Amino acid sequence: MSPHRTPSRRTLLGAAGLASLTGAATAAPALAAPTTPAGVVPAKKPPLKGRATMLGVPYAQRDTLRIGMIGLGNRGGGMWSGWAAVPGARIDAVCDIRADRAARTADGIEAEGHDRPREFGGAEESFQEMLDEVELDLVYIATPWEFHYTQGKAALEAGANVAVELPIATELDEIWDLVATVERMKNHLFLAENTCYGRNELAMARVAHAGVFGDLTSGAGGYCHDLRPLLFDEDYYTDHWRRTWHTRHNRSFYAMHGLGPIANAMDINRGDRITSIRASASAARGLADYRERFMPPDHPSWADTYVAGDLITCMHETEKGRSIRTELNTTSPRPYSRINSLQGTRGLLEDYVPMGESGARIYVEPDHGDDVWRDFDEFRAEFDHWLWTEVGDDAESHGGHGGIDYLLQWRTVQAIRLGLVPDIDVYDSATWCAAVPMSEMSIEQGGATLEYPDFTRGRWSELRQGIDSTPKEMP
Amino acid sequence: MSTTTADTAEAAPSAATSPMVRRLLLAMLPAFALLLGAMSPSLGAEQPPSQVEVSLSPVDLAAEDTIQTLTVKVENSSRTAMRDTEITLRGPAGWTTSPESIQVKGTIRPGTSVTRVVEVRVPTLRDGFRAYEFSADVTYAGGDGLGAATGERVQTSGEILESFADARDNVGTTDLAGVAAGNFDGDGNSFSDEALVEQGVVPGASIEGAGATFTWPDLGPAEEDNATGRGQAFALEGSGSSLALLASGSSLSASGAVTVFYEDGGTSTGYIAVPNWTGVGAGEDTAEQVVGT
Repeated sequence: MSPHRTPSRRTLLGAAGLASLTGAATAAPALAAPTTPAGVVPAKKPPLKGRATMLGVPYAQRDTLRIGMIGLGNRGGGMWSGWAAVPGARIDAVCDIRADRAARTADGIEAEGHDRPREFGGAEESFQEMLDEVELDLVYIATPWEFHYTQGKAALEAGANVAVELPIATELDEIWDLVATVERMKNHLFLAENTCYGRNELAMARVAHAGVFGDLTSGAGGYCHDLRPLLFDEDYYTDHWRRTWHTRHNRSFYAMHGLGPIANAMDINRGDRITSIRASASAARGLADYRERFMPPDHPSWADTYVAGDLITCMHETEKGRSIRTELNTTSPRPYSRINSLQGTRGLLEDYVPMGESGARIYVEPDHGDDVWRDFDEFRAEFDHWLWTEVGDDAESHGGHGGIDYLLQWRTVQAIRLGLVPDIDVYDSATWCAAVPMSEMSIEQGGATLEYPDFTRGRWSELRQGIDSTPKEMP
Repeated sequence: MSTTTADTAEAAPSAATSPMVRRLLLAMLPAFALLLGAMSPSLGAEQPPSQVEVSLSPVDLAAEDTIQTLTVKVENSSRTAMRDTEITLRGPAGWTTSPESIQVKGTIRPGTSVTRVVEVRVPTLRDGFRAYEFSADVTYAGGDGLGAATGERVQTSGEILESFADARDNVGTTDLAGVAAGNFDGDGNSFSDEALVEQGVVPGASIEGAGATFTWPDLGPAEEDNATGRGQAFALEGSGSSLALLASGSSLSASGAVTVFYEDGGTSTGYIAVPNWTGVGAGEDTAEQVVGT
């Protein structure tokens, strides 16, 4: 053993382990953040001055949840069975612009022994007909992105709570308007961000909240998923709507997929807030290359010009001086990853690595002091979220994406039936989704740092529980 | 009885895995003793006694996975009103508290106090002994004129080890026959039992250093004879004004804090550092070598 090797066993005397005992003398001062950093493009003033907040406001309690579904394609068509399976929930209405999908979904629901829902479809406005005719407690929207805002707002105005697939809206003024509509209608609208219910993501947040990583300093998340075959499939995304977005915008379409779990771990809007964004985009080459190699000359995609970079990176700063990086990479050949990395003063986690059952690795002081990664399995077991210990088996048998879809559904139904505060509220949803249009705004300005909107209007520092919730029984 | 958390390691000799390493060890093996004679915080320069007292209520740590409250009380026993008072609260590292900073409007008149409530997320607590410190730093004008006062509360959870021996988790000493069992440094190396024996370091031997007498573990080679420091807590009988530890580093940065939790609820903390087996690294100027080969 070399006497001058890289320090191993550096925690011999437990500096990290004991620092918490001596925080007054040794702890760094509370993380400070710049208030008006130079070079930051200021945001417009919040348009909702003086309006009553829905922060911390519980759902109106319902014994039985009446659900309506808008959008029954690949996403919605795969979600109805989960909604129907949650105790206390029933699907009363289904809607799709293609009436045959509504009929097929109603058939499936009936075939599973549930009451047949009412069917709506055949026109772009069919969803409004459904909202006008059926009284619903929750509307779930899984349509192409460009419809989310209009349908979400309409569902709120119809008196329902709303779960919207990613994103809740595509433009900043629309996002603000959804916040305004929630506050006006006094019901909740939230992003159905299933990644927040991932086993590793939830455990990561709970490990962070327990202080195992020390004070958090940075995090990273992402959506790195080779979607090229699906984007060029003429049936998978109806009218290839998703590929079309790549011809019109250079932005992080799915920033929230990686941002949500990191924000939960960092208590964003619950003690900290995102203060800025700057984004960069690589060249847009992946889709054109794929088309060149795999698409026949008569494929409609040959009319496309792709403008969305293959790698869109967003960098955020927070009020407490933390940094967050998100990546979007759906047009390159690569294995799947949502990154999920969290670093604090006493250690870090990295997900999506081939270690252990969890597929994640951890290194923290003083538990480890030898510069050697450990798999995350033991920590995940120690900090497993109660949803996974209580409902995980059901989730894995009922739902897609390894059970995270069903957990989101189960928890949503439970929260409404018990009259709880939502795990994810409109403020979280707006914060995570604002990165979508703002990434494009930053890219258009050469990677400018933009001031980030505070959808809570100053109440971000109030500690609230969020997704790291207290265990509850389903009534 | 008091409780001590100390990430300590008792130095132990080793046989090494290669001739070169063995030669190094035989030539340079030390063990270090440290005298922690100032476990109580030093007051430093004399200053007038504080007449502003800051106290914190306990947090309900049993209510895991909930948000609890903590009350900070600022009491002005001086003859002058306090003004511009600001309270900054800090919880255990990584815990979220809200608000972190509170401005007290108006003044705190002499003989009165103010209280402010802070919310704290109580997370899932880890097994084993853990300590959680909450502190409130208060700055102000007026009052006793000192301008600042601090209140602290340390709470604990979990069980402590009955003795230091129960913390032993590492084979630090091996003879040539058992060298494979050793792993003092995390790389499979250990101190030479043969070399230590030559220096009179045998099971149960007394070793003098740092004003204390240490008893070498009454264990044979290739047994768990030392503890890798990572925040363990163990019961410690006795009384005195200092605490000495026999330790060795295996790196250049073996240092940290030792905290004693007294039966009356008080605590005191000292800081120690020890070089590695070559005498290089943290604590070169403060640790006393008691064994060398």
